[in-house]
Amino acid sequence: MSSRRTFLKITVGAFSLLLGLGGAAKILPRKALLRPPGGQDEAAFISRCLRCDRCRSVCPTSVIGLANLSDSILDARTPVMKFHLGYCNFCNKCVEVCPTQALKPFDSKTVKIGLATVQKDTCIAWDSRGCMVCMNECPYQAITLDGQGHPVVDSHKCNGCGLCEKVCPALVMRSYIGGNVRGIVVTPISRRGEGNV
Amino acid sequence: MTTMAVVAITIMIGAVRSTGTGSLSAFGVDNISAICPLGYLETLLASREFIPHLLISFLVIAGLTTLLGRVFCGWICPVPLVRKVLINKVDEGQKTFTNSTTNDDSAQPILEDGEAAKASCSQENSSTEKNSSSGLVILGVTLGSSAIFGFPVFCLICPIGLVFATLFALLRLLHFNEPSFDLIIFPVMIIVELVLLKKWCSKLCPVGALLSIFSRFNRTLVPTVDRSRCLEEGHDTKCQRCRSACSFDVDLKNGKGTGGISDCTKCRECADNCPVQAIRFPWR
Repeated sequence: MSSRRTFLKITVGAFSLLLGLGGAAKILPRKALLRPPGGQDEAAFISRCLRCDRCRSVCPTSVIGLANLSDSILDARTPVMKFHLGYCNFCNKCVEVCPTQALKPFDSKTVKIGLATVQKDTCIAWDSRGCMVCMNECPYQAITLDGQGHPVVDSHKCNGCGLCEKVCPALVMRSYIGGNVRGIVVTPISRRGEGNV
Repeated sequence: MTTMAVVAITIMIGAVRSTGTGSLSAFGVDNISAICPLGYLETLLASREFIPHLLISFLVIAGLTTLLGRVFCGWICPVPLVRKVLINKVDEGQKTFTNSTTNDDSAQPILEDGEAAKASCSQENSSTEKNSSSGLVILGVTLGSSAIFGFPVFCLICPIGLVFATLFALLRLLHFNEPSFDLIIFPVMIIVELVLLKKWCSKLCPVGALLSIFSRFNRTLVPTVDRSRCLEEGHDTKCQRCRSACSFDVDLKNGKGTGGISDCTKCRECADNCPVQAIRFPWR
């Protein structure tokens, strides 16, 4: 009899633990994260990602980092783009090594990791003019300067490669506190707003 | 144990050198990878999409497990290594003490805290309950939960994944100066799981339960007892050290343990603990 009781205990314990965990992970608020290219369909991505570390480890520019528990329980250990460390050259290696196709093959012409957004309070050009680093570096000519010399991002040309964020000299030249403050930051595109942000 | 360390170190070298080898969740080169069979089933159910080349990897692992038995648990999985290094230290001292006084008492695990009642309960009727049954239930719950929630739920708490997550978090800290609470929380989760659930490997682990389905008919690489040497057979003493050393409670001599010979993970604990070297494995 007590054998059956143990059995029942284990079953109920496992059941409540995994259901509780699954429910909690789903309910707790999550903020949108920047996924490697091909992982922009968040629901499809999270259902497949095994947190195996292959994409992070293979990335030649080391732009792929890991999300933490502080992002959310569900996102911990999943790959996220850290553009202060590198940028994406769409080499496709992460997609190739992903065993479960959490990162799907993408069309390099239409894929958008995110959208570069000028941070008015940290951007050097907004504060004192003259800085054109991001405009000069952008491989897709997506950044132009407006009449006041402030950088403006063309949301159609920008694919979120993150080179502008990587090269932005705001931290070095303005000595902000914190290692990854930039004057231009790639922000996630919500699925609904895609194309017209 | 040494092979586990070698595997873990190989994975870490791969991670440091940016070769994309991955971890035990999926280990491979380029687009060929050996994927965790449980992870495969979980993502299959969560995404409801069938990926043919993963089935091949799954079948290869299934075939290898049938052929060689649960060598993954004994040679590759880092959990027994972590248990040995971090958790068993306290227990071992007490175990050797009981071993030296009475031989057969050592079969009783040393229990602590609130789990004592639960665990002793399972110990009592260990002769009726087979190892695999509770594991299979957890396997079922694991697969069910990923189907319900649409993501691999068990992966979040899988100790195998957490061991590597801890190592990767450490790597991020050293390489990119990226400190995070994960580095504290992941090891705590592993320790909680392994301390509270002492029978994790034999009774609870769904990865092991999945492998035990394939290893059911495995009869290779199993240890044999030289009955002329064995203390219990020839010398009329009640030596049960091989059985008590076995984390799967395999009784090599009488088959009375909760674990069958197909549960053998080829870890050599029985042979190493036999006082008269009566247990031999085919390769050594």
